[in-house]
Amino acid sequence: MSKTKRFTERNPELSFICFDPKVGFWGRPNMEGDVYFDVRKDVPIRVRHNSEGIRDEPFDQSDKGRCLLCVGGSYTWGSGVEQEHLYPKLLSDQLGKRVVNLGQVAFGLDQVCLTVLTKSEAYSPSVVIVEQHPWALHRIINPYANGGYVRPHFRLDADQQVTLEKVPKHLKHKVVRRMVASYYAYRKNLLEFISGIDLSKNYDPLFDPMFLYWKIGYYDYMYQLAEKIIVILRDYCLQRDIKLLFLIDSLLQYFTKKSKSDLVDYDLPRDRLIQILEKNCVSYLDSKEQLLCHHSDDDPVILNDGHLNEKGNERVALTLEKKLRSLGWIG
Amino acid sequence: MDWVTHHTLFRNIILLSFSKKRKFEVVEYLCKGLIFYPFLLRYFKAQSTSESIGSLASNVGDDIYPLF
Repeated sequence: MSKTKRFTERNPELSFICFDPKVGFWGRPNMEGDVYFDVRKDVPIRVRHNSEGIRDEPFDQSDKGRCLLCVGGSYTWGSGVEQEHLYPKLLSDQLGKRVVNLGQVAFGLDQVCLTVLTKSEAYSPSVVIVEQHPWALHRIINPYANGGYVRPHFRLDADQQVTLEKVPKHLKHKVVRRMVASYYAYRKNLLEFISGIDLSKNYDPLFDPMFLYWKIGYYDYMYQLAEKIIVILRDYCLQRDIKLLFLIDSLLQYFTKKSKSDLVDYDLPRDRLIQILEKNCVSYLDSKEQLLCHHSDDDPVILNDGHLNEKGNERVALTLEKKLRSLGWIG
Repeated sequence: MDWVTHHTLFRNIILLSFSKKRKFEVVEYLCKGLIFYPFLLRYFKAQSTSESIGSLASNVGDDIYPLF
């Protein structure tokens, strides 16, 4: 049954998620509604989740073993864009193969990894495409997620071994979950404060600490942890003969203005991510050049908040197809 | 070492609280800091024995970019 909703809060998509014991939160199954995203306040976008809680058509079991999975955050889920214009759907039409959209808003790389580890077997994919926004890497060091949810998260112990902090089952209760999420949010604020980072005072995305060279030290651990998570993903896929491709998103900052100082580098997280992927022999596709060359103020590829618009999704789908064919992963 | 951790954590909670502009935020952060104190203490004690946390970020450049 469809229902019309109008959202004015910052993240309307969060109303479409619910508690999930494996990955912290997941799309609410069988939910449907018209959403007025902030970036398109006059245009209702139809959002529909299938019985698996994903923004996709029901999965046909005959596609098992020969489909592609797209796992990622809100770029893949498709904030501000109708479902038929999302890049997984377009890629599916281009390839003549089933491409499943497992994107979820506000997902971190840790949740993406756990999604592949715990949920991909139901699809037996031949290819997994991990969509990763370089700036969103910070989510792996912040167990608190918007909307009062808690992420399961990996951490490095004293011996640099990776351990997983699962989401306790009692967090399915909203009151308990909000208290725990509140603790993680406070701890994040405290850690950032100690390191001289204050995101609450006049936050300017052009000067996000992720792009500041003199804040690199604070994020060293994050990049170390990201590498471990990527290796887990890589090894899981290798063991199951699944091809793994990272799709690196383009930052909103690329399309606005260039940094005015050599000490502020919007490519900082992207370059570190690419460095990690290359070091660990993980294939990747960097969308930056393709999107920039097809972008103009009159005909943009992104929405005002940096998410891909219809044209951006088209370009990504085309570039992905080209990449997959060049790798020989698509017959 | 324990006393240092206690003192450092308590000091940072106070500083964080009073860094807020609005009075209700000061009270909010102070209360949360005190409520979450045992958990924070356990976390920071664990971090103090681990080398996996990255170094503190420099504050040197913080007074530079307002000039841009």
